[in-house]
Amino acid sequence: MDAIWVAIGDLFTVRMMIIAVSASVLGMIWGAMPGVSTVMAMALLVGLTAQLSTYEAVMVLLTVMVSSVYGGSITAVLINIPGKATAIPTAIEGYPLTLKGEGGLALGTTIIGSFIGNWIGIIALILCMPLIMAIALKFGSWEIFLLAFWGIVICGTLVGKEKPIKGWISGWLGLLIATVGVEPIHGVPRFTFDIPALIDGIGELPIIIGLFGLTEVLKSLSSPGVKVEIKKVSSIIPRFSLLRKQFGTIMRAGFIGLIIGALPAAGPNIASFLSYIYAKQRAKGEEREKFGKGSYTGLMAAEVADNACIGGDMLPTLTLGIPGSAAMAILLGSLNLHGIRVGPAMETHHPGLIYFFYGALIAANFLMYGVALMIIKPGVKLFTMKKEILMPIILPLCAIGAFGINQSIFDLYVMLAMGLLGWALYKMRYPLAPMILGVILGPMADENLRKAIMIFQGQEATLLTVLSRPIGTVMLVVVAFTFYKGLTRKA
Amino acid sequence: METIEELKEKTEEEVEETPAADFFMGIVLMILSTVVCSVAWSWPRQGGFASSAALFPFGIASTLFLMGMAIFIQSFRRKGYRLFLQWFRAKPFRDGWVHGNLRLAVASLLTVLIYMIVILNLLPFEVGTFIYLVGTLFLFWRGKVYKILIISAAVVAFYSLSFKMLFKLVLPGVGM
Repeated sequence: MDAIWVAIGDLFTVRMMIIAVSASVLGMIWGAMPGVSTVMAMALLVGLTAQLSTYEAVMVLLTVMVSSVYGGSITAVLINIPGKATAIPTAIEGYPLTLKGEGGLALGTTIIGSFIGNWIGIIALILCMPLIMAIALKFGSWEIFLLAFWGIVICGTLVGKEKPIKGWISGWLGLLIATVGVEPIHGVPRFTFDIPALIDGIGELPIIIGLFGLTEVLKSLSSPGVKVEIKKVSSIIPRFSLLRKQFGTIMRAGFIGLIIGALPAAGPNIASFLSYIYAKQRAKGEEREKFGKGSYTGLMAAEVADNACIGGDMLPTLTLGIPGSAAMAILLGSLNLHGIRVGPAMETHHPGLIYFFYGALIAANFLMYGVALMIIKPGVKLFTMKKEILMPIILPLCAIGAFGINQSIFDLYVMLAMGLLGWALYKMRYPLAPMILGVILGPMADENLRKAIMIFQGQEATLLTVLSRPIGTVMLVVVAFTFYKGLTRKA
Repeated sequence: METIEELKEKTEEEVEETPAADFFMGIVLMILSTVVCSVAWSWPRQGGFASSAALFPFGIASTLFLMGMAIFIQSFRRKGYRLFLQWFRAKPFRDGWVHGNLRLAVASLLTVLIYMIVILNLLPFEVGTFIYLVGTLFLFWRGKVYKILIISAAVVAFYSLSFKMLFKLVLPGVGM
């Protein structure tokens, strides 16, 4: 109980609140700007969070994430340019409403949808965490290895779309990158080529910034811009009366968001589309006719699912140390910088941190709500800043982030190399999320696999003994099934 | 709805077949994984191979070889080698330069490389970033010169003041 009060006390300091409000405003503006994804926004900030305390870093990243997830909906409704792919259903339904002069109400609906979606995620997180942590405590090295491995395989399978093999290749490349440096068990240097900077391995931060920051800059600058036409918006009215009318839609969308979010890297893209399509299929008569021409039900379904995903994402991340999405991988990277290892033993090693996570998420949700109401109308001009101006400005930020922690020019070059690699892989239609998961989970998978083998060798275990471990065997079946489903998926 | 259509096209584009790229990537992956396997095999193996430092990279690289081979064979069936060779012919290159985004791609790549490798190695952050921003905004945005100068100066001042003073970070560049 003391830990809860300490966490609340840490949350409500003046400095923390200033940081949180700034992060929320920043996250919303970045989220609204087309081309700056949530992941990119977080990647750019990781370097800076290293200068903050652990709690402040968590607060900044969570607030930026919550606000930028919503931010994408603003430009989708107002100018028909989704800030990110998750907001495409929002644009499909929101922009026609703006054309009808109901833009304010549409924005109000997206705010309510996001707010409720976040709450669904937070409540599910608080309720499910202890249960999953209790199960996770029974995991040995073998099970942890299988879990990390499955995280990369399922991520590759899901984001690889019709070509899961491309997702797996991306993940495997990440795993290989993670093996660089002196390994922790026998102290053997691996792929260091006598370069002193490689002895400690390649830092996660320049890789994250390179893959999600620099790649995005290169992607955006090398494609032509879109002309923007700003429509007039009526006052933004979030109507809570919608909750009663849309209760069923909200619950279904929340459930879809949670489940999809909990799957490694399935993420909000799938959740918002799936929820929107499901709501459309369920709609009848007049309501169905409205879909595509401005439906509040469609808008609500997409927004709730998109935001409920955050809580779902955090479940495997905090309980098992397996990131639910690329954004969560970045959060883990930031925690690693602070020496925090999440997982079932987190409460023992870092008492109170878990409660701080809950509190920070709740605070981030309220801030998102308030900041959205305050800055949407005055911020429209800023949200529509041309990417030809925005992207050149972001490149020095990438350089500062990658260089800042170790003040190493080598890190700068790693970031550059990763950005170029990410761009090349993007051009060849390889997803990048599995690679970052590979980089983050690689050391965990490597160490636990070898520990497990050493334990099995010490026990002179046979294959039957290994298979008699129920959790491990179930996980082995799950890994094999995921591979099978990926291999048999029709292109 | 134009933007939505563009985004839908983009989403469809993401799942399109890329036999030429697969052909190239297949070869790269097979070479890379062979090198990794041979290097890993040469490492000391305390306590046997099963728990040695080489186990994980060797396992990853050998399965990566199989995946590389799989996409190579798949691309070969779809005439990936022919499409790959077309990359080196003048016509598609010229078409991409004139009608496509190739010019933009080259410009963005050069901008990034020049900033990271040349400018930050020769100039202090503030001076280098100002020059880079003026050049890049002029190249990509083509706004009025005074606007470009104001934006560049404002961004440099913001980065320098906030990161140096607020976050106490050392910025890259000469004289850091």
